[in-house]
Amino acid sequence: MPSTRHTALAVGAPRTYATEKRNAISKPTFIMVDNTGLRGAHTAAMSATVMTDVNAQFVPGELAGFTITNVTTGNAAVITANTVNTITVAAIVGNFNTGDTYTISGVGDRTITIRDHFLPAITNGVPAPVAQDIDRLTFTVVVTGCVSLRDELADIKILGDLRVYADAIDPNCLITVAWAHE
Amino acid sequence: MLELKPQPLATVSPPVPKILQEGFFVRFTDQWPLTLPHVKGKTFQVEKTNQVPYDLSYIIPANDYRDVDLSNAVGGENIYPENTKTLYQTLIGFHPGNYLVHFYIPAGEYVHRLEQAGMVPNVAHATLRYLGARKPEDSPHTDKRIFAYAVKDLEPLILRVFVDNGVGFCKAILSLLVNKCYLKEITPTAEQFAKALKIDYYSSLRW
Repeated sequence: MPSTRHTALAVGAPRTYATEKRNAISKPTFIMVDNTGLRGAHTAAMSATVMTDVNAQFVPGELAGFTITNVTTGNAAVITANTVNTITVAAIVGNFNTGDTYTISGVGDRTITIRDHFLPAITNGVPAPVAQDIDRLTFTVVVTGCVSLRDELADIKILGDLRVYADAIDPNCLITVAWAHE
Repeated sequence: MLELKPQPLATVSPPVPKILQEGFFVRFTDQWPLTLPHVKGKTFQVEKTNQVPYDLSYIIPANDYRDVDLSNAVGGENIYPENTKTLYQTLIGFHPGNYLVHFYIPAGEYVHRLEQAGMVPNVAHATLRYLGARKPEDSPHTDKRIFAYAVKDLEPLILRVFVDNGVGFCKAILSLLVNKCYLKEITPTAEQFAKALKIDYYSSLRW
């Protein structure tokens, strides 16, 4: 059973996890939403403006506007830019020292929705069908929270594309979805 | 030419093949029309076979239907042979869902009806929609029980796939196994004639 993990996208451009399979119905079998934020440690030399974490896998540019907190010193600053493993701030009190741990907080509670997207067949009653978006399940994950669902998904059937979206784009909210076909 | 095989009451050993095999005999009754001279009243031996699976699926809103034409007509699904020496033995199974299937051949002519006037399938009627309707559990895709036989130029067999009330949309998945049989005409012995699978013309289903 395949699964993938992505950051949360909003309703305007929801993430498609499984595309429609002609001869089967898709079923989400597991979903985990990690809204606890990103964390790690500064691995470079001391800096007041650039935090470097060689182990990070940030999406370049995605973190601008979020807040990074130096957990070791307790100081925070707003992110102005980021690469795959660096984060730039205007300046942070107390600097980033080698080995300091950091967190990047989620911006808030996230409401997650599992959506079924499909184009119906031409039928007697609807000779020119239009694409349908049917929300099958919605739940909220509080900021700093982590939720996983398995049994609750047992009766959800996806006729077309299995899509998942949040109430806002949030690179700190990670969504992992597994699915099967039947 | 269209039949629903009942569940077996007993198992036999060694098992009997479910579909036509090489060397099997088939005979078409004299009821077949003059417009189909390549099979009318003739007996054949199956020279070779090839099983071709194919799935059709339709997402249909509740209380609505789609007519699925298995023939090679425009808009059809092209599940009919083009060669006069070919017989398609098509097994039809259904994935689970909230839908019913009515059979028509040709279009507009019910396969399953009762004798009282008005006792015909009608998806627009609250009760007659269930008359003559096959449900997915009647022929599961894992154990197909509906057998249809098609030869070149046979009238279109129509499956009216109706999604019943109670759901927003339903994905009806029709799972087909087309057993392509290449036929060789024979003059049968009495034994061959007796062993041959009799294939009636669809008119024999209506009286």
